[in-house]
Amino acid sequence: MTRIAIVDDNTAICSFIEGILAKSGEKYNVGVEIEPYSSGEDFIAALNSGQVFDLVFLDIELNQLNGIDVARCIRQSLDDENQQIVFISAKEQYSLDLHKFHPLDFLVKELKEDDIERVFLRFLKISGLFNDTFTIKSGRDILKVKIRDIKYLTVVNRIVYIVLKDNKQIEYYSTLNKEYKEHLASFNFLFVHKQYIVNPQYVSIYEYDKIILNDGTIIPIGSSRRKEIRLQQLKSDGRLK
Amino acid sequence: MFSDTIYVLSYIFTIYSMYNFMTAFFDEVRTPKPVLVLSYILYPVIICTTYLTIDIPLVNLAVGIVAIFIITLNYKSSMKKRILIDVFISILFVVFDSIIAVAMGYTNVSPIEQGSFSYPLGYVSIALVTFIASLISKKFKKRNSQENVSAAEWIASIAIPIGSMYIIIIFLQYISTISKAKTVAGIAVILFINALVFVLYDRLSESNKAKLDSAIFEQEKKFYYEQCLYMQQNEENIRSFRHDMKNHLFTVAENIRTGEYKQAESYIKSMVNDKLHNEKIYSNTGNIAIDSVLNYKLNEAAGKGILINSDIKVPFDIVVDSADITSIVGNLLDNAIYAVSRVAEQDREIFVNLSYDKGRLFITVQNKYNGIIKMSKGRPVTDKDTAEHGYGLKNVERTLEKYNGHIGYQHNDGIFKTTAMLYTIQKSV
Repeated sequence: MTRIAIVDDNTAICSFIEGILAKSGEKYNVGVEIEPYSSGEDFIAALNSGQVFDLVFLDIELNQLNGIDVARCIRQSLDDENQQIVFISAKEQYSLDLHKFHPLDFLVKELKEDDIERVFLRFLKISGLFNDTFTIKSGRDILKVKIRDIKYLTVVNRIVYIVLKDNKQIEYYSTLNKEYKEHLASFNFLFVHKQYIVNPQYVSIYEYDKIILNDGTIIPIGSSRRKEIRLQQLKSDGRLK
Repeated sequence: MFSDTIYVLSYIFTIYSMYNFMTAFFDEVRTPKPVLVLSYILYPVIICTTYLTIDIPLVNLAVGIVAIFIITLNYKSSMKKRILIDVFISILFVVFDSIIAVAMGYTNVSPIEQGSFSYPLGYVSIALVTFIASLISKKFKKRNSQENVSAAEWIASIAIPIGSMYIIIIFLQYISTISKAKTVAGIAVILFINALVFVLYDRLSESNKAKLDSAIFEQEKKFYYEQCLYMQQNEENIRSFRHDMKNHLFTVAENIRTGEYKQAESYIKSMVNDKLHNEKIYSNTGNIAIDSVLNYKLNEAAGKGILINSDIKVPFDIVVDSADITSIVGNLLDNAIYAVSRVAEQDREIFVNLSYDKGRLFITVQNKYNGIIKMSKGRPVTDKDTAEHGYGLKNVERTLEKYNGHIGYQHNDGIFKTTAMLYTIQKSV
């Protein structure tokens, strides 16, 4: 069940989006549970009371508490980066600052059915990948690791360290090559360095020679891999074959 | 035997000088470390082997030039620049060799006779002088030098060091007939001339680049001006609409008051669909460079009856050089417009997409095309009567390189799609 929140002080827009999402949910056979909120305060109250959403449509020009503050709250709440945000605005122009919140997309009013469906599809593609897990053997334990929880992997002296989103680490004997081939390549993880594999979901900025994660961690891209990684990015998201 | 050993040792020392030269003239290494190290090791090995076996000065010189060239292959650069640096370093060697040979009293050095030059102290001196020269060269290190010299200009530039080598060789054959001082002075003058040529080449490259930049800025000015006109016109439309608003609202209010709700509804609907959607502003990101080039080119295309399908979504405050983005987007659109105007009228459509995501700017242009697209060096080649178009894509690639960007081409089923990507400059970390 996908939980979606719509935060907009204009109830007509809330119902419009709700309608399209319900239709899309049926079309793609995905169960959706939609909660509209007419103010930022109501939404934050819901978050604070423990509600969690997979996808949030957030109006930037809210009446009192503005959309940016709400976005900040979302990113600081418990499930952090796993809640996808779609900003909605009446203004066509927007600042780079919005990207600090790692939104999934940015829509401009007048909202069109196509746009909402397109965003929903993108959401499905991204979130669908990450409910998967893979198992590893660490010492005597067999552990199940959720793909969506992995920030990156690194290796020191033949021990692979999986760094999770809460900064906990799992260590076990293996090689990055093996893990990449067997498990992670199919999730579009990036093998950027002979010592690092990165989960693109946690990337904040890509540069030619390094990657900066959401939490500020800097991961270098090995010089012999830069062109390949760059090509991968050109091909990502259906841009180029 | 002793002399040979000193020769070999001094050349091994020269590896370091060579390294200094390379790091002074080139920026980035493009081969893995082991290959780089191997090339440097190969340098003295090749030269010493030639010296120990054949030992004909002309052959030594030729082999030296080749050995240096092998080292330059490890660095990111154009072939032109590699050859140029190779030749300049070689002329340095020839000059130092000759001056020291003459200073040490060598007469009659024949370039084609075996074993005409064998003097340990000489070898050591040459190695030292070369080393000092390499240290000096590091002072002239310039960041990010791009080549902007035409083939003809380049040929003229390397002709001087090559010609100089010839002159020195001839000179040396007559050492016994000219005084030592004059010979040394003569060779020193040749060195001076070559140094000047080197500096001039640099200036030439800069000047050519400035010309190119200036042309791009002129274009950009044109786009900005048009953009200003659009914005002005847009303002006027909004003003007149606002003015009319009062009247519209009176009418609607009247309709509602008299209970003619249907009338009111249809009136409002027509207002919403009407005025403000009339002006075609394709791009309104707030980034002036992007907006101006897109609006200019797309309106031009629309004027030719081409259907425009655009999706532009970029933050207004991304950091890209305005001239660069104008050049890239402008060139890509020019190509698309050109290609699509040779297609059947009903198929004339261009699709443009600009988006920003996580530090990267993506530019995609898609259009139908007629005929066959030939690729050369990974880039599509156009026919003879439009020489500028091949140039256009070359410019795009060159500009993208500044941002470590890349461009990909894809064509199938009569649809041609190019996607360019560049890493934007991050303003705060």
